[in-house]
Amino acid sequence: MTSNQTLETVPDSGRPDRGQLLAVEDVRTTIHTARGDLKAVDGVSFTLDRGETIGIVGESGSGKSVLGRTIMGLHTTGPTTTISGRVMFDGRDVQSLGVKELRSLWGARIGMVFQDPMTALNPVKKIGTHLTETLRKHQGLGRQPARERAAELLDLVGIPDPRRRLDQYPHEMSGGMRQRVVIAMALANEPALLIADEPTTALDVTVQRQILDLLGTLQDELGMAIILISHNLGVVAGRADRVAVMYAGRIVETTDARSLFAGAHHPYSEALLRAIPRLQEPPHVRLAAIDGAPPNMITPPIGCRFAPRCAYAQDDCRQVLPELRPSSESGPRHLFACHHPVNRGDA
Amino acid sequence: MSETLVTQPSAVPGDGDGRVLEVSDLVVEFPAKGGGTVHAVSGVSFHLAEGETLGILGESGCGKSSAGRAIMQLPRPTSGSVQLNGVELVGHSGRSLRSKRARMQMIFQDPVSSLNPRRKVKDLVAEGARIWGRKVSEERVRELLLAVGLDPEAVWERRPHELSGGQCQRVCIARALMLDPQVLICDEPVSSLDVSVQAQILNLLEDTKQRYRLSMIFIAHDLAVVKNISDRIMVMYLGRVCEVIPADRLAEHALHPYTKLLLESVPEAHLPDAELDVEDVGVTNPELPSPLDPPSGCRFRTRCPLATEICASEAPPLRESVRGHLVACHHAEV
Repeated sequence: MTSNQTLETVPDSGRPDRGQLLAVEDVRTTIHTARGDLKAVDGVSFTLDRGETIGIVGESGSGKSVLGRTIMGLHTTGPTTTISGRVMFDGRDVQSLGVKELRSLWGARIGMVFQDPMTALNPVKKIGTHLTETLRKHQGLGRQPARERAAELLDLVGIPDPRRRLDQYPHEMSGGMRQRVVIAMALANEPALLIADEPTTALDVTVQRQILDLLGTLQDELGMAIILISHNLGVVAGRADRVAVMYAGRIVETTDARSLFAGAHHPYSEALLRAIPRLQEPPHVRLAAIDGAPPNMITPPIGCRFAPRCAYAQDDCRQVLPELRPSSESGPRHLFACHHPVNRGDA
Repeated sequence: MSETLVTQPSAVPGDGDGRVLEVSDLVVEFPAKGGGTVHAVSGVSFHLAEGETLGILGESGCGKSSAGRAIMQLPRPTSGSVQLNGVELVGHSGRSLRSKRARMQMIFQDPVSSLNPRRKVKDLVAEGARIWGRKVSEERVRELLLAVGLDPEAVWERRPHELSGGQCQRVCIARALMLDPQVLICDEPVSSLDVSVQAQILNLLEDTKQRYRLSMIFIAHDLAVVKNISDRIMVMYLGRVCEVIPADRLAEHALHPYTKLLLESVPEAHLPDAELDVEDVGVTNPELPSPLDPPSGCRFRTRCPLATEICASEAPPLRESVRGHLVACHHAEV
């Protein structure tokens, strides 16, 4: 079958298992709004190896989605946005690429699953068209093989009766089914990097688990790296090699899930962990809500962005912005940005 | 789990005499496009005791929202009975229905679209009472805004788009409280909110319930959220009740294979510090049957590892395990 051959002859089939795929270096994304310059992402650095999964956790407005889009090159410096820092993807600076080069990157080398499946799909195009479009463009498949492959992809993401679905419009499907279509589109060309922005937020728990399991299986098969962006610490922690907690445009803590749960050093990470209702706790346990709201990112606080809501904040927190530094306890892979960290034996 | 952890006064929650709401044999069916009938809710009976929170848990298509709306007669159920304080709601319409269900209010998943974008907060909160022709004092609106944790001065003249999702949900709760409800039906009220805001709203609902002596139906898909706020939990699958379980028994004493599947699927079960000892129920078939043509007998049988012949021929009745814990499964050990 032609479609199966293409599956195996995707460019650079001799992928190295490891090695750095992505380096994000002091990225700042400033959005120019009528009210002033909004510092959506404000100095984020991390690296990602091939086949690795990093989970980015944060609440609305933390900049996690803008970061994802900046990495992908969907935000570029222009009249509305200024970007500084560097995003190196597979040895190329994403920000230096032209529209044409970006288009050959998107959907082929980098796949993206957005938060809202309805806006990611064109309401006047059939499901089949969404899938065949990308297959024909990037893999050069003919009409019929592309359609065959599209049906396979729908089957792969667990959509029953895929052939019938190809001729449906997005509005004829449930939210969960639509998100599966979006995932099928993102995986169509077996990208080296998948940016999944709240991929399972609209889905049921059992479906969520299927989708996350599916992403895990496909990752193992294809050696794809994943940036999993979510507000749900549970979703991210169970699936990511590393977790980065974002607050007000910055990464405030990054480590593996185990040490984050065992001993988060940043008060915001700690507060986030406590705000989640847990199944193992009895009913009617009062949740530790975080009072207040995240800062206005047009005029963020001078010091630590969390200081105004932080129970441990002292004077220096309001003056000096803390940088990420390694934990003396859980090793150099555990970084946190806090002057007065919590859960440290030596503190 | 020791009984002392339960903060409710009665040992068997929801077993009091004071039943606010009595729902019997509720059936909700919709005509499907291209013929056929969607069996959204197929013969569901339950009650809500005074001061109780009943959680309705299930995935999309299980009929939890249809059941919640049918209680409100939005739209009217196909058949069955809904009694609020002993007064039958089914069969009434127009003014008569509106006056009978006035003390039952509902809040929804998307707080922003539940509010008229052109109205200001001060008017949104007063809207319901004004429709009833009541005079609403500014004082009363202020009081309710404070009760839901909003600063009246700050939000008074604002419109929904100028507020965050959490603030909009607070406005929705204030609107519902304006009509002095006895029963509050919450349909996925926190699922579109951030974790820290979700915690705020859950705490607020808990406080509001105590303060205004509400009985609540809390419909959601998130197990931990439902467990946190409920006294009893009714688990639904494809329009039927699988299990009614006291909330404190959910994590360790679930009996129905579907409830166990839900527990096993929770991301929390995969967390590093999970103390949950969930068993793998061995469900391999991910496919949800169509509500147009639900399976005969037990509706979960097509995915159930325990299924035998009897499951296809007979719908399992709800059987009581311990007091207040009911399960509808031929093979569950009660």
